[in-house]
Amino acid sequence: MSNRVDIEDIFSESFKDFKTTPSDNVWGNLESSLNNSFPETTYANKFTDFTYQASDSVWSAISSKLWLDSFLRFSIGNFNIYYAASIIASLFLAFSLLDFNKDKTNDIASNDITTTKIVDKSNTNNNNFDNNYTKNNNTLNTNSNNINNPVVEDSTAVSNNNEKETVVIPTNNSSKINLSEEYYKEPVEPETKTIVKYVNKYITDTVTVFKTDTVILRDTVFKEVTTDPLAVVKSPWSVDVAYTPMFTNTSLGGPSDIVNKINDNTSPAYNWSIGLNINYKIKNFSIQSGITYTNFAEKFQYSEESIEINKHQETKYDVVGEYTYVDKYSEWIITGMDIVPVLDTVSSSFEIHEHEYNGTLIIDTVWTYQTDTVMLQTYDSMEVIRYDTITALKYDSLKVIVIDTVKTRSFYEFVNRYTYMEIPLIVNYEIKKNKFSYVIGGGLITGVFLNAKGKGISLDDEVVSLDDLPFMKLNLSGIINAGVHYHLNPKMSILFEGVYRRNFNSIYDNSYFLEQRFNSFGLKLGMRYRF
Amino acid sequence: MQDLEKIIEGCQKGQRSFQKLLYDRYSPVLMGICMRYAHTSDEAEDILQEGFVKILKQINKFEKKGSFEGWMKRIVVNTAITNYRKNQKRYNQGELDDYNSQFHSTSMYDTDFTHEELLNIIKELPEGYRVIFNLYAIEGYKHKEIAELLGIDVATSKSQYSRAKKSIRQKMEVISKINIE
Repeated sequence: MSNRVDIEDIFSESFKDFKTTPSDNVWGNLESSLNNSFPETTYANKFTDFTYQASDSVWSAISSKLWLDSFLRFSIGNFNIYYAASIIASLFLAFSLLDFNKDKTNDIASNDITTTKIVDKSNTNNNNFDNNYTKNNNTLNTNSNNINNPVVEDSTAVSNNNEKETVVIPTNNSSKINLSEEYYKEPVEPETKTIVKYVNKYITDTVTVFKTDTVILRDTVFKEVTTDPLAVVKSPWSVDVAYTPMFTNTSLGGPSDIVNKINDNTSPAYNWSIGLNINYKIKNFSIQSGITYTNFAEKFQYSEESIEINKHQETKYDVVGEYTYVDKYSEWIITGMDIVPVLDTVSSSFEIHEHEYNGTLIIDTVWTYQTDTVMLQTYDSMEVIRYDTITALKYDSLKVIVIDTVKTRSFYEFVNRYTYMEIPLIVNYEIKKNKFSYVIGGGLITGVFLNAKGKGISLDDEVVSLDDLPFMKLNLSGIINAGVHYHLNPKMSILFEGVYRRNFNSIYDNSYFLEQRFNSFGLKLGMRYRF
Repeated sequence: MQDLEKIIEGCQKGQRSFQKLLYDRYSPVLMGICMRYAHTSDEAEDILQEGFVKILKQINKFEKKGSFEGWMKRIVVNTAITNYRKNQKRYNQGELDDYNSQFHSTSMYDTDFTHEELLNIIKELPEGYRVIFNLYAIEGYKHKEIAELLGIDVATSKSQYSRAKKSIRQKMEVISKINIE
């Protein structure tokens, strides 16, 4: 038989119905905790699945942005700006080549004419005629009979004493006449009743014969020229459209500390100009003027330290003293221990003995017990009430305003932009060689200030907006340029010119403490059309 | 779910009809986020527009590992933060007045605030406070993360959040009293 005492049982029995009242500040703490999480939980719960309908215009704006974005980005499957530019460039090239081929065709014709002996039956002013008439590239009006039944005639078959190696352009036909510049001569004297014979190619409504064609139709036509021969004078006027990407440095003047600071904070940036110019050519010189929109730019970086003072209230707890209190509690203690022998039967057996006594049969059952004596420890316990005297600290709570000073250094980077509308006046010297012209020139640019966006540094070392600064309304700059023009055809040229320009005056007016001048290097890219 | 995958694939191919489907499905949720960060509904629509363009441009980068909606929400929240930082350079930040927090009304917990009321309360907060409150209380960012996102000090984030919270409580208390009356 077990007589052990289980410690768990003792405690569970003792505390089964144990109740106590928590101190008053527990609920305070709980409430405070609830208070602390109050707005967050409300907002978090309320806005977890919150939806709000945007207006219809938002999708159209998104759609337009996406379209523009895909248009500006190259993608094989989508029509984009690169395809558009390629189409425009192809069309431009095709038209230029077509124009060029026309010119070539006429060149072939003129070559043919050059080898053709021309009969001048009028026999008048032959010498002058030779000198004054202009060799041309022309296309003649011919009737359909000529085309259907072309007369092929070798130029050598024509012979006459008055043969001329010059071609007269009849003015009473409706031919298109193009003269290239090198064929230009002085206007001719009036000539009448001149009969000329010439051979030319035909370009008709139905048949166009080019140099590469295998069949060349020729005809020999005798025609009476009744009016003045026409000499086409090439116009000295031409027009340019040019775009000039530039790189601009600024030269500064003023108080050295501010100048150094601005120099440290600024760096060159990409800028550009776009313009439309008119040229007037006199021999190898040309004068150029027009209108140009120019955008100067510079990178401006600066950092600024701001001090933010944040105030908030906090509760501080200070120890102001000590106090003692008596804590009462009960404790179970073991008061004594004893060792008690306990007899335990391990096994038992019996035997039956029979014997006769005085004539009586006696049956005796004899039990035999096997026993074990166990020494058992026993305890005696008792509950003791204990008292503890505890020393505790006294606190005093204090509400204080806490001031946080936060220093923040903010870094800013702007691209300062200065825009001008400009009128250049440039003199160029041009040398033509085959398809190229080599150009060198220089001149003045008068610029009208339009606006400036960005930041600058004031005399007080403060960052100011460029809008507030006094800019010079009119600016004068010098420009020098040198480059190459490639002639696509007699009318069109592509321009490549290196450009250097510099302000003569400061971009600010005299009232401002700072002087600033732009020095720009650029590459002028453009197209020229000759009238 | 399969439907959403088809929409995402369509958007990844740049198909406008799928982009519109995506917009129709998620714009109300995303607009809800924008409304919390913006001062006006026009500004919220600007953020939504900019955020959605970013989503559609970057949808190819979306790895189908996490929640797509969560990914979109993060982009919109980041767009709102960028918008805030842009405005920060342009405008001065407002300040909250100091006041003593004497607020202990437990009855407010029972008050059912409408979305409109709650939105109006946070809209009245200065820009920075509003962003910090949204990020911390609703988005669940830590102060350290907020400080990195906004380029401010952790202490600033904490103090501004604390003040925003106090201000919100005070305003909620006012609304609560009005509702009870």
